[in-house]
Amino acid sequence: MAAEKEIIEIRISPEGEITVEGLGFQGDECDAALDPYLKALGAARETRRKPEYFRGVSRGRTVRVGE
Amino acid sequence: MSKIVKINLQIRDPEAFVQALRDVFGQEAVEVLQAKTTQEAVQAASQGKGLARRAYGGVFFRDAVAVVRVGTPYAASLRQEDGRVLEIRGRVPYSDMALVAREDGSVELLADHFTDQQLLTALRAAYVRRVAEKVARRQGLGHQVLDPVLRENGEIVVRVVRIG
Repeated sequence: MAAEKEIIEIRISPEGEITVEGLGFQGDECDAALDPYLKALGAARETRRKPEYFRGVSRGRTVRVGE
Repeated sequence: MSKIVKINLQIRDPEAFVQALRDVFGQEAVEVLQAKTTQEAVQAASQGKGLARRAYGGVFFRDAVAVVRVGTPYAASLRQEDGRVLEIRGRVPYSDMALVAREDGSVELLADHFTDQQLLTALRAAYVRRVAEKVARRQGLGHQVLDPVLRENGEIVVRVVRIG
């Protein structure tokens, strides 16, 4: 089976709010991958873990950053 | 101050924002305060030793780290979700557009409130892309930053793909 591609998706709303989401990561790998982007773009304001995270195989984590 | 619009984006990396301004306006159109480092430029500007910018009504302030002068033309493009390309063209209206430093050392973009919202969207996209590229470079090989994409709801998406 081909490995799922790991993607970090950064979304900027029309109001300037930034959301960072990890897709296709395995568990804690997602945190490690997202953290440098969060630090560079702004302080975390909201963190929401997806249910998959707690099942060992994570579809990712969504974190909103901004003012 | 009613003639000012803020980009509503926390700018934590002034150097990346200057690069974004150059991406949109071109290298020559962006005046940058000369200093050994960006941090020093921000510090000088925050103390009123920065580049002079002209605000609405002809008032001048010396608080700018980087300036794009009123009247400067721009031509940017953003890829849309459906594959089309949004072309953004115009001129900086009425006031200089400037990356200014506050007394506390933070920076923000100030622009006239008649500034094209699509231009601000292009600047946000260029900034986030530049920051993402910087982080991806630090992370090493195998991180590829894709072109920003503008969604129908106005949201910009920048994707970083980990390969291998």
